Amino acid sequence: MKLLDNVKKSLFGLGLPIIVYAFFSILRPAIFLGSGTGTVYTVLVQSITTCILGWGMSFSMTVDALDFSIAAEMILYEIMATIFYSIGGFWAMVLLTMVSALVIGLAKAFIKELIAVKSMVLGLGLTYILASLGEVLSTNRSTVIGRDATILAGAPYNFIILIVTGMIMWFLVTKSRFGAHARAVGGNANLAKAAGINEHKVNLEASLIGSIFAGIAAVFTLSRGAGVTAQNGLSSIGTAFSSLMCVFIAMFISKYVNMTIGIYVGAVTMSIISIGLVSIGFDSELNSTVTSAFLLVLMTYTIITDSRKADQVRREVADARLKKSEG
Amino acid sequence: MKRVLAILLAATMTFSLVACGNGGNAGAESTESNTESTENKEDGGAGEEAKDETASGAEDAGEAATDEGAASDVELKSFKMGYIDNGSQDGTTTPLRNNLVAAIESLGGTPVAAQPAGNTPDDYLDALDTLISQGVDGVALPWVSFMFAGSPAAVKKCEDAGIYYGFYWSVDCETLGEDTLSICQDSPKFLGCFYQQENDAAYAAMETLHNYDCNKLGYIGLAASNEMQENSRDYGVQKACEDFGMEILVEQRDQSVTMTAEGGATTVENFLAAYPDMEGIVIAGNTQFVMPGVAQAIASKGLTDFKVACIDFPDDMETYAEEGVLVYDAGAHVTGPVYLTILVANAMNGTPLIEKGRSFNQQYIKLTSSEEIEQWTAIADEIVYNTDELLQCLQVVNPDFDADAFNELVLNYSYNDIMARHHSE
Amino acid sequence: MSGKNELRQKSAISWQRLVLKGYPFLILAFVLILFGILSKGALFAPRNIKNVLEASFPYLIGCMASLFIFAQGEQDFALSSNIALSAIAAAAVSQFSAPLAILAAMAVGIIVGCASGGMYAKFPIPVFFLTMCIGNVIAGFLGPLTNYQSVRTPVSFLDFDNAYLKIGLAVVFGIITWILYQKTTYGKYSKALGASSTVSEQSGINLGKYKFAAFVVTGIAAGIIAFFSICKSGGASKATGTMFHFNVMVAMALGGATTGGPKVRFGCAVLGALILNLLTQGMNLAMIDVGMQNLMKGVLFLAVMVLTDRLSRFDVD
Repeated sequence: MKLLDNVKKSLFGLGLPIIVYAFFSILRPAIFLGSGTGTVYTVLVQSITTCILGWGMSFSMTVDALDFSIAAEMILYEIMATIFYSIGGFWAMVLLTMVSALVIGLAKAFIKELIAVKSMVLGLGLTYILASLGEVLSTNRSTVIGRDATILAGAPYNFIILIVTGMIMWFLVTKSRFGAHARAVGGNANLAKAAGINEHKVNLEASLIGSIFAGIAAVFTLSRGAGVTAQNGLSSIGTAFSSLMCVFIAMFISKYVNMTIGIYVGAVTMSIISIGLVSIGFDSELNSTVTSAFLLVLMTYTIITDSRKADQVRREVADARLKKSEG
Repeated sequence: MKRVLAILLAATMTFSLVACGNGGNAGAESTESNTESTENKEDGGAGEEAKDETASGAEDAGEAATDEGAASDVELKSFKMGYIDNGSQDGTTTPLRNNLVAAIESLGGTPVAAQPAGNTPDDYLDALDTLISQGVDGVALPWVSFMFAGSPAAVKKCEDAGIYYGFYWSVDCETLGEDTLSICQDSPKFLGCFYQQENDAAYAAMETLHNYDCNKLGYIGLAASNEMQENSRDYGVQKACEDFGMEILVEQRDQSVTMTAEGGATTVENFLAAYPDMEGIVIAGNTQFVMPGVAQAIASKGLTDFKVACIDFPDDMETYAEEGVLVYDAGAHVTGPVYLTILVANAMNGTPLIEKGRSFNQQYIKLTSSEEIEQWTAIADEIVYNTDELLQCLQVVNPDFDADAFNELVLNYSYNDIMARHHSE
Repeated sequence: MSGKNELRQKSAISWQRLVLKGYPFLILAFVLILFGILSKGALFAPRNIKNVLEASFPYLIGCMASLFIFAQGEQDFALSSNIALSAIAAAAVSQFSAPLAILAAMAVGIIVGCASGGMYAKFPIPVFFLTMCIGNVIAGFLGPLTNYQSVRTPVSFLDFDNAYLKIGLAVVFGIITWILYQKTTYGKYSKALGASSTVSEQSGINLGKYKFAAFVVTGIAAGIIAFFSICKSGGASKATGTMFHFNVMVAMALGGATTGGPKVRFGCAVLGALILNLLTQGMNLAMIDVGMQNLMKGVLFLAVMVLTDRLSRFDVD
């Protein structure tokens, strides 16, 4: 019975991208139904970066405030990856970037710990610093890698990266002690403290994991784009918005599917909307308008129906009590 | 542990200050004269007072000046040339900055940069205020349509401060608007507008694609169609479509996408998913950011007949040309501020080259084959005009250099011109 | 003996209070001295002081207006888009008359503020998500709405870009917001909401109107900022106001309000706006390398956050 319920719930959760895909299939059937697996493949590939970065962001959002600096961090790792590539080729690029993500992630986590302010403002300060480091390292040029180093962006490696990262995420969220502690701290820090959970350790781990995910996203993004340009000041923040939207979608469908799948569903939905709007010739500037309006309507609708349901339950309980007292 | 981290943080800050101090020295050295100069201007004296300040420009310009017999005999007036630097680092802004700074220093001036707090017109105008308060004698103003809608305000600020000023990048004088233009044209401080023929560059890009039989295209461009309809990249694209029967199937102008390489890859994937019959792409802006991703997506899809034509030079463009993807590129429109500096330096030395500011057609370097792209890449990092050449643009050094010669200098800017001047052997 | 200890404790507490309340002034003084030295005194030239005050104008208005939202523990991520839309509306009618442009800017600003505030008051949607979506919905429209061009204002509008007028207006706006924030139930309940919305709700306060009003205030601010922006720059475009809300957050943090909530003081808004612009102006005047400016800003920013955090641990309010 429980299994059946879970399957039902999952189907509800997975329904969102299917509905959106069906909508665009009506508008441009040739593209969404007639191109074989081409469009679906494009959708799935494009959602990978957004999804991995979204997974990385979700940790800091669970235990702490939203961390805007993750985008600047990813760009910094991309720039470092191009340097490592020029020094030692593909393997140096992958391995050294991940080591750098670990080191910089640790430093970032310690700075966050030092400041110990749960505020998204902290992310803005870190963004300034990480973006500046990127500028210094890129030495005034766009940095590029050779075609031989872009292998990870192609099948099957792209999906392997997604699945492995997803499994790590799923394990961390649902099976690990860290995941449970993170939820406890995010839910009520004082209660978690009273229960003997070391809040500082959880915060530190969450930040570090976010950085490692940013490192993975950087290697994959660089493989897809084959180049990167440093972004100064706060301009990198825009890069994080689509991932942020995915986390919101995941929160919206969290009743049906867990965060790991929810964020992926969000990323896929965003990709479908993006390709869909191009296919119907919509002004590309309106992409964010449509996506945001879609999410806003969805969220408002859910909240209204949820509150109606709650009202109904409350009424039913009151009626039952009334009957009982009359009886 | 926390103490160690606190110390580290403090050390980083100190390091920043020290590192910044290197840049700051130049400013610090000249701040006293800054304040003086500012005070003078507030009294209404503008640039004339600055003429009394004599400093050997040739001395600042370095040894190169002494190579030229004539130049070494002349004592150049010092001046401060201001420019707005938003810190962007790409294939267009970096060479522009390098050429401008080299030109100012070669002509005996001091470069003064101001970074705007953000990318709004208001931020740029605040940066201009900072430059004025630093006592600059002249200022090169960028025209980036969305960022610098504030040209009337900028003109007013420069006029009130009595400093020389002019615009560069894709704007001719007419675009300033009637009211503003009437202020400029009556002013001895207005030097002119250096613009590229955007429509021509875009038209040529489209024509090249047409020659490769690529007629159904995707368009990646700037969010702005900017304000000079007849001289915009959009206009050139549109005209070519009419003339050659080409078609733009879809556009991507979203800055959040076109500012990253991965955005380039995503755009190509979306274009091809929605329009499988697409034959090429014209990139009319942000090329320096999107091009690696565009080329990567085309390569990964194994499209051999799919061509790309661009405006603005990306880094590593020789690779894309070698791969046969990039067939046309127009860029290196980086000399506008150099020309403005020449005009300011001449005016400061008492030999103004022009009586009234006007529009100058600053050339694009147009590369139409992989050979040309390869040749250009070999010299791309060079400074366009060296110290000797720049000193010869000062009438006090070279009395033959007049308005016509200046105009010729601007019009002659091309790949062949650079090769003839620097690599004739 | 115990009396002495009590006295000592009391005096320690009053010192802590003084430092806690006054340290944003110390940061301001630090920035002033640091860049005063680095710029060899140029920062203190009357013209530069005027520049700093002029450049601070939109941030002063924006920060002071955002106080109520900050006190409620929230932020308005639609503020930038609201400013851009208000500015475009004002510029579009500017050729008819200046009062009409003012009216248009204020009307659009307030309407957007009402939309955000209305939804915030009515639905339990996370404010961050809500305002970000509203901001994105507006921002996407701005390009097509203006045909991707600047909407110009007549040159005569430059006359409104008067430093004394702006400083005077900022002072008046400051007095009004100070009274509202410090002396009225509106300010008090905004802080109560930030302390705990559940407790406030249970105590029978009508939260909706206070939530709504907070966004109306930022809407009014957006209108004012938009109007003076078109006067200053001679037009409006989709770039008007870009990232403004982030700059407000940075300014508030530099002024000591690193987190929202009831402890956000009025002085944070004023001092933060001034410190942010002193930093920008000071680094330019000190001719600090453009590439290093953001690094420096970030480090100083974090240093202020560390200081705020350490001092807030002694908060005895």
